Amino acid sequence: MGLVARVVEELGIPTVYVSTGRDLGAQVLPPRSVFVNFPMGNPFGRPHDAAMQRRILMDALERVVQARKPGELVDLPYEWGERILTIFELKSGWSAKAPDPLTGKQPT
Amino acid sequence: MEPISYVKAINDYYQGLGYPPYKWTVNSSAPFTPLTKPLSACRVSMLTSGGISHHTRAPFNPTAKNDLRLDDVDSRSSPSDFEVNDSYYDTRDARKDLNVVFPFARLRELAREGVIGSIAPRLWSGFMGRIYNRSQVLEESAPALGRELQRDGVDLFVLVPA
Repeated sequence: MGLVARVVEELGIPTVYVSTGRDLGAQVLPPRSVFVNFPMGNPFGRPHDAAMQRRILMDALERVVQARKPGELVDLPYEWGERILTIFELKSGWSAKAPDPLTGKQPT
Repeated sequence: MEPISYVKAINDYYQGLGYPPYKWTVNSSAPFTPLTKPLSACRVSMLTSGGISHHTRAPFNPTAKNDLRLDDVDSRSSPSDFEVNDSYYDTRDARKDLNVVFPFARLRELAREGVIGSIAPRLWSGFMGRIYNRSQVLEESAPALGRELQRDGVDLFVLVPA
C-alpha cells in the first residue's frame, strides 16, 4: 500500500498514508504518514465513535496541508487503552478463517 | 504502549512455518507533490486494503496471496451495503462499523460541512491479498489507479492499509 502511495504521488496527486504498523509503513516510506497506535483494523478507532474517527481523518488530511518534505511520519497522540495484539496472538475468540467454498464468504 | 514491531512478528511467524525470509521493500527517499489548494477546495478519495466489498460483488478472498483486485466504490453507498472478508486483521469491529477502517461516512460529513471541497465519486478497495509481485503493483496496478484518480479530479488521496 505504501508503494501505491508513492506511485500516485509521482503522478501528481498528494497522498497520506494512515498507518497502524509503524515499522511496516516506515520502511516503505510513503510520501506522508500518520501513525495511529491502534490495532490493525482499527486505524480510525472504535465502532460508533464518530468523534475519534473524524479526528483521526482530520489529522490525516491536515498532515497533507502541513507537510513540507517527503517521507515524514507523524505519531498521533491517541492511546488505545488496552494491550494491542498482533493477528498472530488473536488465536482465541477470532482467527483467520478460510472462506466458505460455496459462498466465498468468511465465516463469522 | 510502545508500537508493535510487526516486521519482527511477521518474520518470526512465517519463518516458524518454514517460509523463506520475506524480502521487505526498504526505501530511503520518497516522492513529494505539494498540495496547492486549501482543504476546503480539495476533492478527496480514499483506498482501503481491508477486504471490503459491496454486496453486489464477489467477496474478497480472505486468505488470498498476490490478489491485485481493485474495486471502485460509489461514494454515495451506505456503509451497511458492504461486507468484510480479510484474515490479516481482526475484522469484528469493521463489521460493526465500517468507518473504523474505511471512514467514508466521516468523509461525507466533511464534504457536507465544507471542510473538504468534495468527496470523489469513486473510492477504492483492493490490494488486499498478501502481495509479493511488487513490479506488477509499481508498473501496472498503481499507475492505473492513479490515472482513474486523475480522471475523477482527485486532489488528495488517503490510503488506509489493513
